Amino acid sequence: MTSLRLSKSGNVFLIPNPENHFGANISRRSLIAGLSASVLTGALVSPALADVSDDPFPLPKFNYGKTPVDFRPTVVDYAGRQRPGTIIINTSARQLSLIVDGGKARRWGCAVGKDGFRWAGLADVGRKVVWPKWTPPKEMIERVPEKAKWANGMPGGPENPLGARALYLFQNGQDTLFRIHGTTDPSSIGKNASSGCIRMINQDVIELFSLVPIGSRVVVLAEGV
Amino acid sequence: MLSRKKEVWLAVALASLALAACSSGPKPDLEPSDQMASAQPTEPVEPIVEQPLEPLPSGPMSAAVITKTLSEKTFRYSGAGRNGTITFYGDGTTKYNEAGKGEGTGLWQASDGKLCEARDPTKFLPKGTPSTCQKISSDGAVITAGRMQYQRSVQ
Repeated sequence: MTSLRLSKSGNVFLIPNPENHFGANISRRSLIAGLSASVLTGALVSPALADVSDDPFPLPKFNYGKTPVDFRPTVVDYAGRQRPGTIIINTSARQLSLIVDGGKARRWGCAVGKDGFRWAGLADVGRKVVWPKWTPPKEMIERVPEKAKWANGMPGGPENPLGARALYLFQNGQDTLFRIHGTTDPSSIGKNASSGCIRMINQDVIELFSLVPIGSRVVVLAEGV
Repeated sequence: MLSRKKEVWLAVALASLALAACSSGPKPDLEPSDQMASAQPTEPVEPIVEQPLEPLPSGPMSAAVITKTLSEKTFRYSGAGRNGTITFYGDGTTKYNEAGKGEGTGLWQASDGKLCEARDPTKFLPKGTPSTCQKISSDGAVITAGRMQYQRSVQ
């Protein structure tokens, strides 16, 4: 298994990794350029083909028929000043966008925190994990006692609530415990449903995962500000 | 002997010089120009007075207050051996000019009680900086976020 890592020069390396990371030996510049080209030609249909052959739990193509249009993957114009490669989470719209070159952004639907669980801020992708293990926090076990059986961690897999991929969000060099991750409940996309994490449809988070290197900026916009 | 016509012209020229001398000397900054004065009378011009800067809030700052206080405004910053000016744009980006180094861009975002910032890579900061969030407060004149202090700048 491998992971994407940024070198000092901004290149992305394939390195061995014990945590089930995936990656590709490409530069950040070429990654963004490739993404832009794919986006502009409409070629970005099936997510992260390079990942699929290694995936321990390969997924079929997702059927977006029941997903509201606003939360389906799309390409939108972007006129802001954020740099290509930045992930922006519009909390109130429950949409996650990855800025690409050419004044465009790749956009997906997401779920955000329930009332009282939402957060906003700036973070960096500090780790990337495929089919991540999930350990419910103490507070969650107190709220939902049946989660106690996973107090030592639930192995990654199709039943795991973190879904197919997780991007760990770091601030001040520390894990915030917030993640962008997949889900076992795609119907929750577009809702305020999580405990603060950003949920995406598994196939969508697989695509995002394949496009962003460690070190990518994540901007979570405050709601109602 | 000067002809009668030449005498008249000389008198007019001398009178003009005398009038010009009356109007010389220091003028108020915002006096209408001579050109304007010779035109039709205009509305009185209000003197341009620099608008006082919006006062800063005092005490702890919520995300909404941080956003309102910083958005689309320029501040002088100092601390941790650095100083310069920074503009916080409403779209979550920043542009700064650090003394002795140069210009750069970055990101900012408000979080309850905290100001999160990150700097993009530049020639003098090849890796940029990771996202950091610092407690932010204001005493009404100076905003303090971590070790940095910010004061409004008219720039």
